[in-house]
Amino acid sequence: MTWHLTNTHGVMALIAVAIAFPLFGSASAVTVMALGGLFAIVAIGLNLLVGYAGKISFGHNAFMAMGAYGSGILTVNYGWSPLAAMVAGIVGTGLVAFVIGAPILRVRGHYLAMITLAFAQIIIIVSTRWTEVTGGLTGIPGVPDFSILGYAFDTRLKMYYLIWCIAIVLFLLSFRIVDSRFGRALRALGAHEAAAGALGVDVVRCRIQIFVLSAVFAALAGSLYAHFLNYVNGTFFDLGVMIQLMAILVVGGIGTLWGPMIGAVLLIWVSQNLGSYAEYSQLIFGLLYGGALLFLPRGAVGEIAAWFKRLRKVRSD
Amino acid sequence: MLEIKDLKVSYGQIQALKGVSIRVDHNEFVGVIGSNGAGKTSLLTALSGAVRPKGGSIIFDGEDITYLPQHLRVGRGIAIVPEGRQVLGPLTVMENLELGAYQRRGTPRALIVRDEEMILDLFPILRQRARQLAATLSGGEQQMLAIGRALMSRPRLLLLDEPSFGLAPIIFGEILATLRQLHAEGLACLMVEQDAHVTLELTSRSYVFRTGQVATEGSSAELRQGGLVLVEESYLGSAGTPS
Amino acid sequence: MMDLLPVLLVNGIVFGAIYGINAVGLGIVYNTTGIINFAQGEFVMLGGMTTAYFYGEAGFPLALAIVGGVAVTVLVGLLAERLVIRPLWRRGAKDWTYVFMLFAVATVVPNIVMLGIGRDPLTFPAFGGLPSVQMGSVTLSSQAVWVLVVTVLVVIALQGFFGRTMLGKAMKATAINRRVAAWLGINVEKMVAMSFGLAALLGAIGGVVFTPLISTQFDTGLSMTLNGFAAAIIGGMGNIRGAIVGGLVIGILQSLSTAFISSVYGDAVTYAVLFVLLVIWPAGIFRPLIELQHEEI
Repeated sequence: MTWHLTNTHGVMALIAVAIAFPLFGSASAVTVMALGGLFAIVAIGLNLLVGYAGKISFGHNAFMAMGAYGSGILTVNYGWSPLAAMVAGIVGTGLVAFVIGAPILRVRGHYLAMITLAFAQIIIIVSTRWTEVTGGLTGIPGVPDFSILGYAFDTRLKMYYLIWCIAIVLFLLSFRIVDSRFGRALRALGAHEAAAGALGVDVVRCRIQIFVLSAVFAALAGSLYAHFLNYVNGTFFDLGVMIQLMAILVVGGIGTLWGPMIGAVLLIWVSQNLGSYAEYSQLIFGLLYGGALLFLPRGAVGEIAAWFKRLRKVRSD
Repeated sequence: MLEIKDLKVSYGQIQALKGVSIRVDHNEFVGVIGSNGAGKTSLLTALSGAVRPKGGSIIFDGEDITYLPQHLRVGRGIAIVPEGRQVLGPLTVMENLELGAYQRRGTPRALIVRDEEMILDLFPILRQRARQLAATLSGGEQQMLAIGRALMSRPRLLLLDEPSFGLAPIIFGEILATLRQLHAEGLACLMVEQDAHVTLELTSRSYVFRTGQVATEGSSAELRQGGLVLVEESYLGSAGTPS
Repeated sequence: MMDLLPVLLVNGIVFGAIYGINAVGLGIVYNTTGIINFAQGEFVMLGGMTTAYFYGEAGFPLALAIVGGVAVTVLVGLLAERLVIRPLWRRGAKDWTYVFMLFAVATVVPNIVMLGIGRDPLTFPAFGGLPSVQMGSVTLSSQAVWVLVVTVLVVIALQGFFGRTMLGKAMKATAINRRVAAWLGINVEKMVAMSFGLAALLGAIGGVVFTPLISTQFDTGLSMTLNGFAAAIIGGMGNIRGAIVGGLVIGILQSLSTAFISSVYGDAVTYAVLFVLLVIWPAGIFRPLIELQHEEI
């Protein structure tokens, strides 16, 4: 999986589109694409966990919530600077992921899915009821705009660029990760854990590392989300979000590098263009990713890549 | 009765069988010997339907069963005694036998019971352990149970996959005697075995497999006497064979 | 508070019986196929909702509504198996695919119910026909008695099915060793379908007998699945009596924690218990009665 020329072209195109998009899109379209970027951030991390290391998690919406609440509580109630709050939130979430990851990642695949689901449900329930800390169902309004060293990202447009800047950086990072020794260990893990262990991969350390990393990505996205909307509410991160994430991964292509990015952009576009059919969104997402599992098992990116491979083979024969 | 032509089996990139042809006639006891990895078990795996061959054909009593689904094969008269016995551990001996006749479940209970009795007569130790869980049986007893279970379907061809595996020679000897008896009563058998000596004693005709192909075939008597050199060659390669 | 204990226990037992039935359904599917049915709770919800719909909107008499509700749920279960599980099974999909797919089913079904029937909680009247029972200071309503009676009947029926019928034994054999089962002439694909049908039947029965007590809503499926799973872990996947016991434990736990710890966090406590359980005993507390012989993730 070394870097192809097509990848360079692709990334350049991506950057170009990301920069140019606000010039052509309406303000609401920019908002939508910003959200797309946020989902892309989470999806990239989650894809490394699920697609490469082969560990299912149905709980990453909870990590997003933790990042968001971390930022929200620390900036609003304690007056921290957004950057410090974000870092604290991310570190805190990473710690939680580390603590729970160690024991739960031993568990068998299906059980892991169930247990992460249970974990996410606990977090969502607590966040929407623990009124003293999280504001309960009202949440935390009035989250300040994100700022770094005095420069405030006070418009949606500025947040858009910030989000996409981060998304693209993390996207490129994912390429590096997959190509590194760590990435190879992940793939060995995903293929066959016992065999990987026998080959000298520190299985326990590896899977905790990737779990924490993916949680950190999610927390980062959650934190940005809080500053983007200037509002935190647990219901934003409920099961529906997890379903969207799953749809993004599956439709984009689990275990591919471009999958999360393409999936996020595609699906955020779908979700925002439902218009009057908004209440059908969960149904549509469920059908989309169920259908993808049946008919496009490798996801859009995977299927296209396979198609190209076949073309290349035919040409070279 | 059983005609296998040019059978090819692959697991991914690995070619386990590269085109073997085997024949078993009615009431024959045929053996397949060869070292590990020679493709013997793949033969039976394809015969039982657990893997789809890449090429070739399996004709049983005039019917092409090459791609017939696994669960329909026992109904055609082929029963398999799998490698490693594979009895249904959490179930009792009797339940295992009963399930051996699953495919005949339309027939009157009395006939099934009669067959169960026959098996218990054949293997008296199973009668002693009838109500015990199959997992508590010794290796030899499990082997008997596996054979008995296969017999419950009233097969015309019995497939045996390495029946001696993990069994003490004395125990296996008892089982061999029973197999001989069954064969004498008209059951055709195809036995795949590591133990060449025993196989050549028991069978009328044998094939020697080597790296996925038939290296030698012939009457077991011939193979036993002069042909033993050929057998050795097949097992050990052509290195160092005396005249 | 302590004088509330008997009531809480009884309450917990009644709820727990339903979790137990659901857990049995989960266990049957898991044992036969190695798949955890994330849509199990939806069967419970469907049973209750469709029955309520037939009774309320369509005006059926209660008995007919119940039959209809259960039938529709079983149909949905079989349909789901045929449409989404079978193709994956045939092409040898990896475990995570099933998990994701069943989660998709668990998303699509309640949304269809929400859009088709509505968001409001629905209910239908208690069955009647059985007396309420007085046990010391506690009164068991007639419907609660129904729950317990049905649970016992279900257990007896299932034990008879698996222990005495050829079909039941064939399902057990499939659970133990799929390959050997196929060699014995058992159509494994049919067994997979049957296991889903059975799971749907059990879920529906649980939902139907439960709804008059607590009403039902389109989104109750998820918590039913998680509670059923917790019960199955405690009792051992596929162990019928164990599942019921596991269900009772979860039910009582929930009842007690709602009263003594907090009524606000309701389900969260059970989930936390499930979490801790799985962390300490990754293989489940009592090892499943039937040891599976297939690859795990």
